[in-house]
Amino acid sequence: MAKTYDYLFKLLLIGDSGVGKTCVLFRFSEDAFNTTFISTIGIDFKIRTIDLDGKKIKLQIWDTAGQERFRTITTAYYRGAMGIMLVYDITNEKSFENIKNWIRNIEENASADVEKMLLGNKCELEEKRQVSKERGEQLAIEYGIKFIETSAKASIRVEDAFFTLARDIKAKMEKKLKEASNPPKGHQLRASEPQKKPTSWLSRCSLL
Amino acid sequence: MDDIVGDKNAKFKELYNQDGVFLRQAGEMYTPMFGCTGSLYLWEHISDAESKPEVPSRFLEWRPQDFVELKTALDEGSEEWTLIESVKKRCRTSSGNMVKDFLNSIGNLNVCFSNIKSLRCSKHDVLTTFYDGSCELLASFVFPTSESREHFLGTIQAFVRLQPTRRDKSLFIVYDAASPGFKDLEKSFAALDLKTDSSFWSLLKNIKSNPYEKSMEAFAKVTGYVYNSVDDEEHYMAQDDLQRSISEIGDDASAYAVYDIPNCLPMRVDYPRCNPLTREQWRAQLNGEGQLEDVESIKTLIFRGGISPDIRRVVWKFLLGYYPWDSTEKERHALDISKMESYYKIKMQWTTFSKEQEDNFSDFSQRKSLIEKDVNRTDRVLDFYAGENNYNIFSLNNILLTYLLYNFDLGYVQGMSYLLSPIYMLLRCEVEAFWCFVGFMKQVMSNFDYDQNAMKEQLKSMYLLVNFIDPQLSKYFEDHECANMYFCFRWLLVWYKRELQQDEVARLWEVLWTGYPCKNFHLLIGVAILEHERDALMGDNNGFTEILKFINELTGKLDINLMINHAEGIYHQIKDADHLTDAVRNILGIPVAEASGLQSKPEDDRSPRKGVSEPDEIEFEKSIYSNFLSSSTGRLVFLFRP
Ligand SMILES: Nc1nc2c(ncn2[C@@H]2O[C@H](COP(=O)(O)OP(=O)(O)OP(=O)(O)O)[C@@H](O)[C@H]2O)c(=O)[nH]1
Ligand SMILES: [Mg+2]
Repeated sequence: MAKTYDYLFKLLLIGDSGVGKTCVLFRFSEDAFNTTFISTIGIDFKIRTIDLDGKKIKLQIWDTAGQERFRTITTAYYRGAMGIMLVYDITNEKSFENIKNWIRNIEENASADVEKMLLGNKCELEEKRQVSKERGEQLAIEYGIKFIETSAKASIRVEDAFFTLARDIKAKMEKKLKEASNPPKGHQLRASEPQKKPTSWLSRCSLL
Repeated sequence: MDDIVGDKNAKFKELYNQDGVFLRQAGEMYTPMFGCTGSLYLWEHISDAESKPEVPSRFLEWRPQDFVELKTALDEGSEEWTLIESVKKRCRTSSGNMVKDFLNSIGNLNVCFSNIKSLRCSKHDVLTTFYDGSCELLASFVFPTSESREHFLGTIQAFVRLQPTRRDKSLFIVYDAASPGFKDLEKSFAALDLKTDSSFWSLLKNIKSNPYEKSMEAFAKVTGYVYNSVDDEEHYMAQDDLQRSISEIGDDASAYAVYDIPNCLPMRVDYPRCNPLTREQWRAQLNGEGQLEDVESIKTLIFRGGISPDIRRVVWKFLLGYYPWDSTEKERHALDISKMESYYKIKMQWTTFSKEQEDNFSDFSQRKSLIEKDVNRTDRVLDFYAGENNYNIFSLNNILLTYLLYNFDLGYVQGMSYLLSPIYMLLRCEVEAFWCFVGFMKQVMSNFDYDQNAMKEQLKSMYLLVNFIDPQLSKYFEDHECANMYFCFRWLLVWYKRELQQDEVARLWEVLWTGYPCKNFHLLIGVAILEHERDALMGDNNGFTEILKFINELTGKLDINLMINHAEGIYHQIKDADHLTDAVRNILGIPVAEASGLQSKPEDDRSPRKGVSEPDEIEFEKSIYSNFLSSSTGRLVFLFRP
């Protein structure tokens, strides 16, 4: 069977229970919002193939259970993830505070150079907001990752979020491929070094 | 058998005599006579004051034909005892009285009637097979005509009762109508909805076409090979033959599986599901006090067929420990009241929290919000829980909050709302649903432990079970990074709740709540599913992701009755397997004695068995006695093993 895509990216959604991971994923893969959603037990994934700068990219997006208790099981699926969406609920302070724990969790279980992104979901619920946009941005800067506020329900910037993450992974991958084909002369760059730096959106794009 | 009659002077009356009976199979010592035709007799001892107690009251005798011919000749001529040659063996005969030497002649096949514990009457032909208490074959005859067999069966029913087994209508348990244990068994079979009073013949004639029967025929071929063959190649041929015969069965063939010879499991036996427990059956078990007379029969019925929806409300309360099984009507009334009181006492503890109290009690308020999020995502597609401001969702919330305070150490963990939903939907009463949920949680509490060790343990057990019954599949999982069986996590955490419709969940759970036929039967349900889907799982070089996807997408596609049926078959295969390991035995809680192999005699292991196993298990085994019998089919398969 012919390959129907150029790249396959494995992405992961993590964050507290009820922040809307499954809804975000459903919005992205099905372009719908379902109010009768079911909580995630264990792990599941969805697939969507997107077009990115002329390349077909198959996104395999894993959705995990949010409750901390199940982490021992869910972290088994972190391995091999190329991008991770850290999701919190802007109407829930606690879910935002827990992002720190989720980051630690990633550091312990995922590969070091995984692309990360912070998502503040349910952003259409302005009247119930507990976490300001600024605090979200601040936290993202602290960790050197990108940040977007989304709403699965009102379909706000969900596409953006996934496309951004996918583009960053693609850029990183193509850069690696280039380095592999003409290795840098003179001083050797450690492969993981550049990725650890918070690179801006623009600088990434210019590499393409 | 050789020394059947110790008393030289014992006198016997002939109850039955038929010429032209073909000996198909019997104990090994009779091998030279397999395939010979002869006469079948049934003798009854005429007791008198002098007769010794060792003399059996009845026995079957089969004499090869040429012997009979000689005897007839002798009858006409000499009155003297004569030595004759018959079928390579020397034997002596006399006309007239039975004497020891005569009976001991190896040329005759003697079966003490009291040793016959079951018999099989094939409806397709006139093959009739007798088994002893350990399901070992005693003798297998082909009658010349169906009338001659009818006559035989009619004769023996003068002193024994033939009880068809529930699962295999051509297999009959032979009860000595005079034995004291008979009444008990009769009762437990009555509970199994068997027509104990209907005549043997109407039952036999009503037998529906039975795939098991066919497999028995196939099996008979195999045993033929076993007895005759000397080299391995022929063993394989026999296996092929068996496979072919099974494939001829048609659609039902999938219920049978023949495994690689090196790890040969006993043949899979089909244990058909039965009708659900009815209101009438339930009522019939209640005595004047409203107390259940025979709990084990009721549980057996539930295990075999579930509960009919109109009495689920009552029976679940017993299954989930809301009412003790031995409670009287009066006691239950008292329980209703006390349980209501204690429920509201616990509930009051959280309903009276002030806002400040809650704010200062973050462990509570966090869990509270988790519960709220979860009940709003629990079975909302069902009408019962659908829509905004649904009162039933509100009740789920109340029950889970009350449980939170009832068991704060455990708290609330995701998944619990799914365990409650079917219970509340059935009972529609907060108090009853709460206590029944408490009962269910007692069984599955460890699934929600913080360390998740119990879940990991179960997943590991699942792997071991798959490995035991289908090593090829477990190897596949191992080679594809799935040996941790995490893809079964959801199945086990909430007992397949997310894979099934609400009525299917109810059926599965009530079956599992009986605790029959073994510990951790819910794991065997999963094993049955995996085995059922094995080709799809291993197809297309599926890896870790494809397997997870495949399993997650089985939701709504499972035939749960079929899976229960397969799981039971698998259980018996495992239990009777020759190579049963301690690890597997421990998972299913199979006592060591229960797992005895070919060698042990039933007399040796049955009495200690009572000591080891739970009384429940013994009752269960007794009431489905046919299990013992059908396992005989498997035992002979062991003979393949090189
Ligand atoms: N208002 C609003 N509600 C949302 C949004 N996204 C999700 N929700 C609601 O939030 C609740 C939880 O959503 P899920 O997607 O199931 O949450 P999750 O993160 O997958 O939770 P777990 O599976 O338990 O880890 C649901 O009741 C959704 O209806 C959103 O953008 N806006
Ligand atoms: Mg989810």
